[in-house]
Amino acid sequence: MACTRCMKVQPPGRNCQRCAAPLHAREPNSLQRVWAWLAAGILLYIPANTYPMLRTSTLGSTSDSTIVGGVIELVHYGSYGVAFIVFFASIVIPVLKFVAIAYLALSLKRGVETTTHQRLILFEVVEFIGRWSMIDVFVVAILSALVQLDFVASVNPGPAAACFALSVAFTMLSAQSFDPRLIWDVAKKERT
Amino acid sequence: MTDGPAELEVSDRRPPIWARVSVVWFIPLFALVISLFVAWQNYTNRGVLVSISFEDAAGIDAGKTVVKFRDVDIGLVESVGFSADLNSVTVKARVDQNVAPYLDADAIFWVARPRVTTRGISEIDTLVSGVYIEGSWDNRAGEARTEFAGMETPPLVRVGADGTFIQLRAPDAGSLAAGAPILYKGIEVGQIEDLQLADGGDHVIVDAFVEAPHNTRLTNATRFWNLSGFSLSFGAGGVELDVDSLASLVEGGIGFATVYSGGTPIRDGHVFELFEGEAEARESIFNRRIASELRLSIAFDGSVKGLVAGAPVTYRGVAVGEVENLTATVVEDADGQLSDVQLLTNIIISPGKLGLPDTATRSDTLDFLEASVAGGLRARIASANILTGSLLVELVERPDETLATFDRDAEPFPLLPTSASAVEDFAATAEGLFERVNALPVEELMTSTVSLMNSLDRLASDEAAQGTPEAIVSLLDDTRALINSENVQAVPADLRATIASINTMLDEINTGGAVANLLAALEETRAVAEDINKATDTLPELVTKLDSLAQKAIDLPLEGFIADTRGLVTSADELIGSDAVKAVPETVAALMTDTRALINSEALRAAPGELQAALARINTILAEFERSGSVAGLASAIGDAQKAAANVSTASEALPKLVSDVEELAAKAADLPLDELVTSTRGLIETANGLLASEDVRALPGSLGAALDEIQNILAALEEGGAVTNLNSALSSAATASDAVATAVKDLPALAERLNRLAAQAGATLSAYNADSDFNYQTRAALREIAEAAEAVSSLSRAIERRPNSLLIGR
Repeated sequence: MACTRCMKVQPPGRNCQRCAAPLHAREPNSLQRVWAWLAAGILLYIPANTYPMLRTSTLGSTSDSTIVGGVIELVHYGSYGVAFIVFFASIVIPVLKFVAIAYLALSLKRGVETTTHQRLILFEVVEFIGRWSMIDVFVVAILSALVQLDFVASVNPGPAAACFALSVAFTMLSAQSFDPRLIWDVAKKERT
Repeated sequence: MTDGPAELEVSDRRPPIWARVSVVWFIPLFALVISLFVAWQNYTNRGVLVSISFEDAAGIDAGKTVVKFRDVDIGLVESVGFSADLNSVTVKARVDQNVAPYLDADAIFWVARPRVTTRGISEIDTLVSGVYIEGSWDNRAGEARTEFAGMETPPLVRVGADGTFIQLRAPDAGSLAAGAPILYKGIEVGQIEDLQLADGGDHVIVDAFVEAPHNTRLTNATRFWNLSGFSLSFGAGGVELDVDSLASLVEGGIGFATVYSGGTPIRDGHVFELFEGEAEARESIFNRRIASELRLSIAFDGSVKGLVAGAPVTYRGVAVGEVENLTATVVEDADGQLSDVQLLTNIIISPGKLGLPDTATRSDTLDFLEASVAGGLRARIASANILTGSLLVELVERPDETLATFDRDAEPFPLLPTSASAVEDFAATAEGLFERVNALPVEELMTSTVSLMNSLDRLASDEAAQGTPEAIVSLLDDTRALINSENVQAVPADLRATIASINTMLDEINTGGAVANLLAALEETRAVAEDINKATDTLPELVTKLDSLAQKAIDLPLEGFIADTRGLVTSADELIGSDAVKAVPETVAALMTDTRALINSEALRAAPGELQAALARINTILAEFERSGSVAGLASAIGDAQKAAANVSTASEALPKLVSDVEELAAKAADLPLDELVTSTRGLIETANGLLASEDVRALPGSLGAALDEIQNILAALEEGGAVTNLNSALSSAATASDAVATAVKDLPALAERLNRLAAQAGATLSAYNADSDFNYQTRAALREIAEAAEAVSSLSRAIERRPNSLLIGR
């Protein structure tokens, strides 16, 4: 067995001989954890889109903007590039991640048309791209830190920012909870 | 797979359900619970939806515009829509649950927008933050409502504010506007809420609010008056211009004061009269019984130019009424023909101000006036203001004037008899004064004064005169020095000693029997006199002889003698007339100089010393005299005198003989050749004449002339001395005085000019009051500009209210 943390190959035991991490042939309750994190992520994704992400105060007038509202506004202003990036990072990627993780989890139970290799690549992509979803949160955090000109203009994070950050974090945890070895188990079962 | 790791033992045992369910499931559960809680809380706390209708929704944004109460957010506008009939805008706003119960019938809402008024800019913050809906309600929860009609303008008084609402009755709104201040001694204590026409349309009702604690000043003795704009009045006191504040200039204002004490407090809704001005308001305490006022007519004979409606009617200087109007009526004579146009001045007087009780009726007042007229009461025109020429009607008492009656039944009003106008009196007096001033011989006086001054000036500026005082001063100085010298000072003491010595000597004389000797001597003398008396008996004879001698003398050729004498006198005359004599004064002057020199000389200064010494010597001599028993000697001397007198007496016995001798002598004298004597005398006179004619005698006047020259010199010296300076200074004082007079005279034209200018200004002022004058025009222009400025301000404020953002975005 290989330790999932330090990659030491060793005979099966309770703990890793080198780093004392618990050793499992397969992550226990892996799928359950995947579904649970995914559910939490999706739940938090709802307020992240309904509540305002940014609270912008300019000369006394406060305007709240949600993610979708911000994108629409950007399109109105003609900043299609920025609008696309925000839309892609904040909406397309999280939604695709939900879909991908759900697909991977489901694919363990039911037969799918994709090959195991394709699914493995999909998993790698999901895990890699997951952290980039935080780009929105970064933007909000940086704006909040930079634009604090008191009365003239100030930007404060709305409740959606925290929800969105949690949603992304839960999604990442969900992706991490997924044990890719299960893909191979399924493949072996199919072969046999 | 042989080299791979060992095969895993995969157990297929199913753990129990609680072991198979991951703890991670708590995370989504927890999130779900929180979401649900938040959603539920949001739903329950979302507040009450109220709808407020406005005329328009300028600046109101759904989801952005907030509802505020006392500047605290209590709600948010959710939607903006139209009423069913599209006549108004309905704004739906969700209001905090906590305040919802207070939104009862008295709650009001309005849109807070920036407002530019004459008293400042308010709600300026809404320019950038956008408008908001402000609400106001009291602190009592009533029957809650959800439908409200919004107000277009903010209420001036917040609901529930402490104060008193009052109503003012005004004849017209004038320049009053809602929001105009109510000022108490210049402090704003309230506002005008609203202006509306009274039901009858004959006056205006002004709703006003006076804030606490100033509302306690309101009693039924309070009078309100209009402060609107500025007032320009030409009254008896001259021109009066009153401007209260810029705000009151544009939107008016109301002032009030409690004009007499002892009023009772008032309650909400009390109705006051609004007076035109402060003076009217304050006078109004006399107008309480306005119904009892009495109208009278006066037919003045002369012109009533300058008398206008509203001019005061005074009685002993107190205003008792005013002129109502001036009318003309046609008078019919006895034949019923229209004969004359009579000018009637109708006046209103308040009987109360004449001293009649408040309860006096019309007939009481007329009775009083009738009695007063019989006692001499007359009406006359008097000048109220010389500058403006305005007139007033004066009720005066002229008991000595011809009898007049009070026509109480005259139409249209009872007719008061008149007296001669006081205006002409004044004019006559002024004219007389000017005539007298004109008649003064000012020019001649000026000429005389000027010539006098010139003479004095010339005299004073003469250099010779300026030197005189110095010589006098030096002479005085010398004299003083002389007097001050010790020797002179010592003189009196020596004199006293001498007198004492003399005194002593006289005493000794007294005691030494000298008087007895003297008496004896007198006796002897008498005896001598007797002898002489006897001798005189022969005198007539002697006289006869002398007479004859005189006769002879008469016969002497005196004429020739007189002629000679005349010649002598002529010579003397010539002598005196000669230049030499004229020179005598010079010599005298030299003499005086010498005298001065002498006085100045040490010798003279020493003289007192010598005098003293001499006195001392006299003293010594007297003492020695005394000591050597010289008094006794005197006594013996007197005794000798006695003897001598006895001798004389003896001798006088021989007087008759002497007389006879004299007689003889006279006879001989008579026999003398007097002619020769006269001839000799003539020769003497001729000789004298010759002497006078001689060069030497002629030179005498030269000496005299020199002496006189000297005197002249002395005078010159005196001239050079200080005396003339003193005179000079006196004269210069006179010159200064004359200068002052001249200055004063110089001021006269200036004064005249100033009078002239004053008159010109007065004329200009008077002409400025003309209707088409520049002053009038400028005033009108100023008023027009103020009106335009006010209009511009109001349009600006309207524009800003409509589009607050225009300040930022530029249109």
